[in-house]
Amino acid sequence: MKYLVALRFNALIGISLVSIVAIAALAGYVVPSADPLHIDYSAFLSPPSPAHPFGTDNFGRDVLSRVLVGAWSSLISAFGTVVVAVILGGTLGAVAGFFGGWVDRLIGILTDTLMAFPGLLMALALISILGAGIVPMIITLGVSFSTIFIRVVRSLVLSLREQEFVQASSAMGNGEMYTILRHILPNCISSLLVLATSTLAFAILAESALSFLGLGVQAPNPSWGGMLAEGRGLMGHAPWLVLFPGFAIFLTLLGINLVGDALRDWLDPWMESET
Amino acid sequence: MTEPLCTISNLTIAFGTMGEPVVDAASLRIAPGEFHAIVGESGSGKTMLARSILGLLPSGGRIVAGQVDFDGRNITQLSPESMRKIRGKEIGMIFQDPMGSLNPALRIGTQMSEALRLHSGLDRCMARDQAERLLDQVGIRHPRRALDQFPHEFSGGMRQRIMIASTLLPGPKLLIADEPTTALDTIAQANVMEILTKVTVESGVAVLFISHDLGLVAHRADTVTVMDKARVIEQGSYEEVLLNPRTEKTKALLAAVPQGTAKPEDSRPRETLLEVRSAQIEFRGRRKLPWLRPAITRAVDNVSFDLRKGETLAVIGASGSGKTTLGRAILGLVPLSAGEVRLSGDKVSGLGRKEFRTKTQGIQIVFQDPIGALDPRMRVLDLVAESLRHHQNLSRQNKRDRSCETLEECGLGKGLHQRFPHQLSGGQRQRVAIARALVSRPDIIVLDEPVSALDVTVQEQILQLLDRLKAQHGLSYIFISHDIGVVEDIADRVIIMIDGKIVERGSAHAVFNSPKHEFTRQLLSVLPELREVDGRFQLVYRDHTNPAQAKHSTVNR
Repeated sequence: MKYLVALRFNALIGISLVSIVAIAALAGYVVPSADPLHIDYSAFLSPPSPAHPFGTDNFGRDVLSRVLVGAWSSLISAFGTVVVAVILGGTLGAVAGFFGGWVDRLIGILTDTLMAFPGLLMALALISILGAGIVPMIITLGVSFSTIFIRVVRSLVLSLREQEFVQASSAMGNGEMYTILRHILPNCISSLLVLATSTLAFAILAESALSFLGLGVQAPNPSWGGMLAEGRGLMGHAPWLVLFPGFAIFLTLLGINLVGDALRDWLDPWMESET
Repeated sequence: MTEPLCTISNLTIAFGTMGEPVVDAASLRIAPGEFHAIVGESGSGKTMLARSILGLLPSGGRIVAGQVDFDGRNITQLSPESMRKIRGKEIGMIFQDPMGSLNPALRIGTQMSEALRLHSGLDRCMARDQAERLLDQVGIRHPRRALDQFPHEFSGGMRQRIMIASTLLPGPKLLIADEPTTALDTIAQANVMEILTKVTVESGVAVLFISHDLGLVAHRADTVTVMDKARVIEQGSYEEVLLNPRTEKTKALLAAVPQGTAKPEDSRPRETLLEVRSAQIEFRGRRKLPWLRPAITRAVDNVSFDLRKGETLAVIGASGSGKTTLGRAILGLVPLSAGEVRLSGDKVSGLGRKEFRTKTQGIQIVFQDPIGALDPRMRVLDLVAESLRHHQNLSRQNKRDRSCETLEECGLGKGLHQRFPHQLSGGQRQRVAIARALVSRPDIIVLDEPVSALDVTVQEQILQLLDRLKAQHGLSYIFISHDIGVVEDIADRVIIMIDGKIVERGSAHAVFNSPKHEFTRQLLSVLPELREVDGRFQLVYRDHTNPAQAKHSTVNR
């Protein structure tokens, strides 16, 4: 009982954090505030003040509106990356684990090859083909993060495939696709959720690395990662440059992780009380 | 009366702060060299009681009242440090699963001598010699060679013997055995029991033996303690408890021991439902080198049999005899390498999956492990209704209604239909599995060890349910089991398998009363059986060593 209350409390915090971030991101577009791209050399690097609650950067741009607008590009690219990684990795992993044989070997070789390349090198190569921008970045990051999903889902499916309930399903005459979707994937959900929420954190950071290299969100447009990268050199003089986007990343990840945990427990049949 | 080795007085164990006690004011005493059996169903608290002697309660478990004295010391008061010294050296423990309790990465000799060197400071050589001597005692054939082998090279029964040897190695005064034979097949079970009794008598070790099977321990025990719902309900010498059971529960446990009444032969002509003709199933091993032929294991070798309408065919064999593979092949889960399966005259083996399943809707299967066989994320009703997925002529509501009906027929009331499998007991889970097989109204159900994972009293209930369903629906069963005692009451015909071949077949009456093959005789001879003679229970073994006179002989203790 106590545990359930604690659980609801955590879920509530998580949901409120995520909604705050989402509302703030919307507000950045809807509510007219300072233009995030407006350069004002008269007020560069000014500390937080009523006019600029989060201060300004070295071009005199308002940090608050940059954080709000940056939320969009950061969140979209992070979620997009995870969605691509889960769908790609989940499908390939399930197919490899369930069918085995040469399919498994082929997917294994692909995964190993992908993992052998340093992530950024591969990103550079892919982006040079697809061109810079948010969509190519999402595809690139999604592909390189999918390797871990392939590995995890494959090993889960390998052990689930041997379970008698999977055999019982084929004994009922169910097809392979139905068995995978109805019996195997639902039993992978809890591991997948945990993995997906932690991947989300890496995706936000990876986005910042790519944006820093100029391959993701393009220069004047703000993103949290990009702002961190730009402010890094001035951290000693103007800590607000990294503090506010850093704090935004922290709150978002905390919220997402709490929601992820709550979702996992909610989907877990063992959490239902005994009577 | 000699000074007791171990005394448990008024012990109460509970989980959490205000949970129901799992052991309620239990007392027992074990004299040096005594064989003391605790018998009860799972959940009766017997394991907790035994573990409290070792101070190894699972986390959250607490001793609320009472104390445990061992060899003059109050164990409940000892520090963890001094408790560690007692564990292993003075009290040894054997667990149920011999695979899990031996470290698969270490050689037998290494793990055995490790414990000994830790406790007695012997050097490597002497420890190995001692280990070898004990392995010899428990009947390991080449003890010196066994020391350098790994656990996976031994069968389950052999591993359990090795466990006994290594537990006895430091010279404990008390040996706690927690269902050490439950995971083994009948013959291995009898052998391990015999070794355990012999070795402990030889070395004068007291044994606290925990089991759900009264028949297994009764005639070996000096004292029997019966537990039910956390309480000790009966305690006394073997004769007192068995010959004069005072409580209903003990009587139920006694009744669950097979009574040994094979059905009389039924010679009525019946239509043949299923024919298996020279079935052969081979498994291809891994190629060691690309140009070498892969090793081929023949799991089922030239097996033929018929199943007639309304009969129960028992397929008996030790683990690894190919009986499970045969059962799965009938359902098309494993392909045949040669031979054929005919269902009502139509050949069904070798068909494509889809076609196969449409033709064989009349065959269903119940697996051994009801936990593994039910998807943990589906509710009971959905699990059963899923079986009707391919019945397109039924509406959704029809399917649910029929599933509900079937569940209730299998003894699961409405209140359980929305539960998850883990919220049910073992017996209830198996009822769900049976309902799932039954709901599509099959003609044949393959029962793959349907009661092996259950307590004896629950086994009895499930067997009765199966018998009732068979009569009501005119079902035919293929009953696969390693335990010949389980099938005796319900089988019409019996097939005995060794290494994928059928070595004996015949009507149940003939096989049980005049077995022809040596293996069958061996299977029957280890079967303890309780008979009521003049209102008194007697535990007897069948003596088939002389097949001419299949008489029963009373056990000499």
